[in-house]
Amino acid sequence: MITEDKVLKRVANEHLQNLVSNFNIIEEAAIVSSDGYLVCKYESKVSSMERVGTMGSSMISLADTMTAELKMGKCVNLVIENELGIAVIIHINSKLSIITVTRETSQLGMLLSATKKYAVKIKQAIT
Amino acid sequence: MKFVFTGCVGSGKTEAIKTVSDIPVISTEEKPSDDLEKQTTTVALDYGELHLAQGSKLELYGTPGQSRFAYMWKILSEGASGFIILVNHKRPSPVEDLDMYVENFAEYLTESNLAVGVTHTDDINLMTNELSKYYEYLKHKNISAPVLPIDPRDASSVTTLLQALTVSIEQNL
Amino acid sequence: MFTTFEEADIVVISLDENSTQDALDAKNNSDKITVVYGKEKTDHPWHMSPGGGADEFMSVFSDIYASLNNQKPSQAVASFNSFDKLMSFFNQLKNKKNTLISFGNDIQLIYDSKEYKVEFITPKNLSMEAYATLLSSADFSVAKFSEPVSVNHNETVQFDSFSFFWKLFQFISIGAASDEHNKTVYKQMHWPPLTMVPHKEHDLAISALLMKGSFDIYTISGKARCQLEDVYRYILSCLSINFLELCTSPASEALNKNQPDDKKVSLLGKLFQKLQQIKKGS
Repeated sequence: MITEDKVLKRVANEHLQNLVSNFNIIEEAAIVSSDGYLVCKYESKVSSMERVGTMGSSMISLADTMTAELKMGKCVNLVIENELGIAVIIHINSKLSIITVTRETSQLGMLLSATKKYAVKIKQAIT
Repeated sequence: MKFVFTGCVGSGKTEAIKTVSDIPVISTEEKPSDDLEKQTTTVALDYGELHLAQGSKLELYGTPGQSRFAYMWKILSEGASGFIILVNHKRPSPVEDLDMYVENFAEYLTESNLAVGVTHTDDINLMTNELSKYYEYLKHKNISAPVLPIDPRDASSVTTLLQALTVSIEQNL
Repeated sequence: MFTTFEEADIVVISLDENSTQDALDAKNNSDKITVVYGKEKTDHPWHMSPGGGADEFMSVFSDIYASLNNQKPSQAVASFNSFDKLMSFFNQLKNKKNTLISFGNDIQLIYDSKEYKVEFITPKNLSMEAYATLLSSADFSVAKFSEPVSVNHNETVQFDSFSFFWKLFQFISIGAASDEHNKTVYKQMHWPPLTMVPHKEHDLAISALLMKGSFDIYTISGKARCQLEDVYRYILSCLSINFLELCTSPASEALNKNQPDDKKVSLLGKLFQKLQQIKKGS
């Protein structure tokens, strides 16, 4: 089971912690399996990233379904812009996704860029 | 009108909807990381439709089975006229499985109707005695609902369950 | 052991031994059925005078009548000195409860190569005319079931109300056709096989209608069970069936006429039709 792969979890967690420390706009983050299991997380007191992570897996799966319906190739990322912040969900590979959250509403570009960059890094690290 | 299929992982919810839907089912299936035998598992929803006369339609929603997706249960349950809980008869404690879903959907079941489909049975025609435990459970919970053995791959079988649910709804109007 | 009359949702009045046993079995499996007559069951509260025929028939009705009218059973017995009063009672009962009157297999139409005869086997003391009056003068649901079908025969039909009994037998044959005995009888009668259905379907049809609580008279044949739950158990294995046809037929419309949510009923009707189409296609 992917969430019991200690090496994978350790590597993924290291990268996630680096991401959060390098980009201080990111207040919460998680890596989840495509079927909704938490691999690792960084969370504030505001949210349970285990729960948010599972929701993220549902959402990106639904986005994939919609993308297929629209015949637009593969879903690259999912951006959820809200009144009080932004969440981004990006596929790491076919089995994992990364979710990042900021409460700075003007930082979409930064959040998206940082998350994409680390999604690639994590993919390379675990392959 | 909207029916919601729910029930434990591997009970056949997605298959049941695919079997009867008039449209290609919208599914959110992912490879499960904890079940090597199962090809895919639903992580958000399944959606199918039955097209009825004069442009009406019955919407068929399937929920994810795992409780970690319980937020989807609530989202999908809003406005449903009927619920179908599928129970995998081969699981160690199928009545406990049923109880888990009955409890979680309790607030919606007071306003709508329930039918229970028992799947993974060796012989759906010889199930009467085996169904008693489900009836007893429902009786204990003071819930009046049909319990039928079904094969989610068989349109006739799934339709039967939908018919039973429809009868229940009509009764309670 | 027995639900009281006041508590019962459905009252079963059973007029012969076999169907009494069936009704009792059904009662034992459902809190919603009260059996108000059981020839061999002397322990239930509605049974007053063991024995057969009209006396017992009357005593049972008297007992219910007493309950409905806050009388002692002994007072009520006197209320049934005519069929008019019996009819009045039936309508009173019908307005209060979903009532099921079981005849078993004991009404038979016999064709002896010369003429048709209607024979009532039990209660023996009641005349055919009395039964006919009972059945035809009340607005029970018998006639709702299907329209009379013309019979191609050159024989003299002696009974004046043949068309009524034709309806009745279409109705009753739903219950009885699966009995070998009745199949033989029907064959002798050149009876069209339009309602020759297996037992399970019969049970289902009964149960479905019982659940609707909307009709009043039918037969319970020898092996029938009318547990309410069984509709769901049987529906699986017998769904080519008359059940759906019932549900989507004009009779069903009559059954549904008092439904509060017309829009939803209409949608459910469409759903029934759709499900039936899927069935036929699969």
